[in-house]
Amino acid sequence: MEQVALRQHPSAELTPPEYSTPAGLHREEFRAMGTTISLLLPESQAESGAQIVRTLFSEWEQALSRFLPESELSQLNSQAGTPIAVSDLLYTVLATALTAAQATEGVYDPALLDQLVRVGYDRTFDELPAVSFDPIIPGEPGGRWRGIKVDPIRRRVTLPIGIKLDFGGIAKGMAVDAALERLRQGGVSPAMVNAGGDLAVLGLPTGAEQWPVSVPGLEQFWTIPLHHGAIATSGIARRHWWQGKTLRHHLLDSRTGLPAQSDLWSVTVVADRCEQAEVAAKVAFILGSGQGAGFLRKHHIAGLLVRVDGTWDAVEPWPIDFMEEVQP
Amino acid sequence: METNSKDFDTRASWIPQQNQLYEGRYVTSKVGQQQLSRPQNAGQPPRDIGQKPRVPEKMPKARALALANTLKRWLAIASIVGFGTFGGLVALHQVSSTTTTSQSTSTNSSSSSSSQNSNGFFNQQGGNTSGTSSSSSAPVSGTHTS
Repeated sequence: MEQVALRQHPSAELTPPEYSTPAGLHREEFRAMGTTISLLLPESQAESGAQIVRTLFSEWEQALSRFLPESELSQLNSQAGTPIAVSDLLYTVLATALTAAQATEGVYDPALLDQLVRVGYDRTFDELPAVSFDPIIPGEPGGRWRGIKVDPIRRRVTLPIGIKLDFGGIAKGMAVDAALERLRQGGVSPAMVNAGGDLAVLGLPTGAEQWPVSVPGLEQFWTIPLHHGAIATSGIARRHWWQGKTLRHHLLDSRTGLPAQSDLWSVTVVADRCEQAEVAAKVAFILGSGQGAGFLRKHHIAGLLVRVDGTWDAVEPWPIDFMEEVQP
Repeated sequence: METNSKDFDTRASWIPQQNQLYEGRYVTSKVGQQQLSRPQNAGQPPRDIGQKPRVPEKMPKARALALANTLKRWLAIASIVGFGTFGGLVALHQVSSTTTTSQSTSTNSSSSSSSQNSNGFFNQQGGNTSGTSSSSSAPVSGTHTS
């Protein structure tokens, strides 16, 4: 289904609209964790605030990137079967990922790295060729995260032999949450941190009642008001590639170990924290429009589900009444 | 016959101080509280040194039988009372087990409901986008597929 959508829309990803900078705020951008980190910070605290966020993202990338052989995550992945003492950061992210896996009954699975590599996502997305001619290997279902042993006292983790971790979006979402928390502790407010589409806000711009945030559809963007919390989108518009004649993307279905066969183009979710929004959007996308909407409803999470044919459904409390189409 | 007067000295010793130093720490005793310091052998019967133990007198048969009958009666009564108590405890245990079961059933249902609520992972405060006015201005940032 997504193949049809991509053929209909060869450019695949819409060009984002022009963003305005609220009065009194300064915009800052840098690259980290394989994506662009965009910040809105008070002019008077822009330098110190940006430094706080840069440092944090650098620390997180060094510890959690699967593409850095020296990262703590890579070291852990290479020693499956052995109890390994890990840092507080890696422990916290793993514990959160396992909680999310449990909460989604395994639809979100942090231990699908081998499966992801098998479908061709074996290097950073920027380095990934649009078309590869690797042999197509059958998928292997996930669920082996249940065998991960965690010792919370000694901070030791034992991965079952044969599995590797890839936190993917949840680590990025958690980094956004952690960055905002550090800014808050540093007295930097209001602020917005946007890591490749996973964004969260702290406070409100002076004189404003909300942060106007753009949300993607299939062929257009809308603006919705965000008062507090976070927003994230999962979809195949950007991260997809061809393995021979087979379309691949990074949103794997743990039941098959293969890219999810979803009728959705994207799911955007609003939640209190970015880690929640990131996981909820991904899970809803994998489940498809029917079950995905049910999943969001069950957890009282606001969401916008855009199908590959361009139609969409909203799950309350999504602000349908305040959606405004962004004029190109 | 010699007696060890020390062994029989069971008189209480009154310690009037409220604060007594004990291993370098002050232990506060309550006002008016008497502290009895007993010798090691206190409470033991006096030992008669050099006296032969007396042989107890033999009990008459009739009295022994009467005593045995009394004991049997008490044993029977004790058995009935014990059985009743045991039965009562068993019944009580069953009731409390049932209560526990129903509690754990409700716990299970609530934990299943809380697992439906994602063991806390997706707990929401709500109101993130509950706008009171439309966002008439241009977007300041945006979410997109990651």
